[in-house]
Amino acid sequence: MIVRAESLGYRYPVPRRRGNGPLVFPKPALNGVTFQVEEPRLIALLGPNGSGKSTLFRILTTLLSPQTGRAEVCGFDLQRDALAVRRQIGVVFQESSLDRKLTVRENLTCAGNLYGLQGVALVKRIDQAAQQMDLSSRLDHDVQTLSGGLRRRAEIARTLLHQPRLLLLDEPSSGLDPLARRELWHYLRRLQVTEGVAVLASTHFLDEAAQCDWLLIMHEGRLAAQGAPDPLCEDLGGEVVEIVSDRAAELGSVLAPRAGFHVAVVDDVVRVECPNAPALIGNLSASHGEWIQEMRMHRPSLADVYFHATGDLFRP
Amino acid sequence: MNRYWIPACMLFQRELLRFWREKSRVAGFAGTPVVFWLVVGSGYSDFARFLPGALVLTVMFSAIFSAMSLIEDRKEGFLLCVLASPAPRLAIVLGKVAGGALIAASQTMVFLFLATLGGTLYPNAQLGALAGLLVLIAIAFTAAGFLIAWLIPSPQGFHAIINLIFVPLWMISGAIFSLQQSHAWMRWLMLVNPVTYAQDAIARGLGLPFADGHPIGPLIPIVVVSVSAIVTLVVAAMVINRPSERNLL
Repeated sequence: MIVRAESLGYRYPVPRRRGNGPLVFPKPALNGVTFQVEEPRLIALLGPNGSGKSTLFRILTTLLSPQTGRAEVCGFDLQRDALAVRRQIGVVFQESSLDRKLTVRENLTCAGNLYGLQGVALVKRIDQAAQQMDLSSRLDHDVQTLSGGLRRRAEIARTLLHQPRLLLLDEPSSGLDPLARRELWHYLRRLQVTEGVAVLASTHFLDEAAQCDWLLIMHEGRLAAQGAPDPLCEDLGGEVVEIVSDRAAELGSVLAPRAGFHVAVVDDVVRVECPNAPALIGNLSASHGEWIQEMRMHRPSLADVYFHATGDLFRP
Repeated sequence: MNRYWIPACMLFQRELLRFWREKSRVAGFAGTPVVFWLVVGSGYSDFARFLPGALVLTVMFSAIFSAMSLIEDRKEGFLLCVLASPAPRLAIVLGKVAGGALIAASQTMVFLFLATLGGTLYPNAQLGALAGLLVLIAIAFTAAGFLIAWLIPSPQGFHAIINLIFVPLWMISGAIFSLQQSHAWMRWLMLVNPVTYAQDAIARGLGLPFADGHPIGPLIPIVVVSVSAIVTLVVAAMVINRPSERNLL
């Protein structure tokens, strides 16, 4: 068992007062989050900004203590055995945390020292980690001369020195161009396969989430859904039809009672999950053609899974 | 023990390395004592009277501003990596404080050497003991600065609090007016102020004479300075050991 989280909850203590009323605490950042990671897989923590991803990340990295619930990483309790947990995890933060005034090798040496590594053993580990991330030729370059993608790779190399069992990455692709993003995920997958390390990376990009083995979908501090991407999409069944109409609300109420339909109206779009989209489109064109500006259908995607689970459109 | 001293040594070396690579800090390090010595030394006829206070001021500011590197570490994200690593919190405090304290104590020793012309001006001065004393005082001030930099992550706030707390502590340490000359209530304040003992210990190390009725015995200053260094270190390690949102600012 790599991660076992039970009913994790956290609320940032920033109470506000409206007028003369009582203090009002903001909504919890994390509310009853329960999940398990049993084997080393590539896992995406998917959710828009403010969904609780970072809070969960901070708790799993032992930087915050959960206020409710408990969690274990590699069999160690996050609160009682934080030091042991830190030995099992490698962490990449959203903001670059390399020392720009030092070279890549100096940065890696500092990191190795923090984990109690030194001397020949550390030099060997640095060479191995640099090789894994294709950084061997850059080891003696100043960090400030590296591109964003290379810096990210250097940061990942830094987390590999102590051979962690779980890599935690907070939005690792933020600030990277599309090519560097693709490369980054290629490296993460390679690490998971060759090193057998579990990788848990938060993201708000659906295409990144789609290539993972398992998804944890966060929404307003709760775990809205979890599963492998393809089965999650297949579970919705059939197709999704989006109908743009200036009488969307009325059209929605016409369609809602139909068996097997899951209908939602968002602004001027009626969104229908249905078993047979071509038939629906044909019927609707005939019966309500004059209400409709546009109709489109597609196989369910992760955006649809997100909508189905949360009732909100995915807005990264 | 390795898990303590390897991270602590790394943080200590890093502190010195970053100091060395930042040439403006090195210039300040070397220049300040010289300027102090030239201006204050030649402008005062009673230089000896103010020398202990000047030494405390030098070590205090140098130590506290070395501790400010914590604010930079936090801004650059380095602190997060340290906190997410299994390095013991006490090792983190020890490494960073040792680095900052060494820089501060060395700077003050340069000043001490210049001001006493290598000891010739003060034949009774015990320079070896003074060096050790300056290290202890530097540790106490660096650890206090570390604690404040931990609690107040903005550089402006840090400066404000330093000016609010440490400048007055220095003023009522006997650096400007002596214990015997002050009012009874002020004397009490001075006697509970740990900086008074740092100042007193330095004056003793220089072999300066005290007026009759000086209320502090010869051993007490050393004890107070040592205890202050240990207490500030332990409190700093305890405070950063608590997981909190402060980790994430």
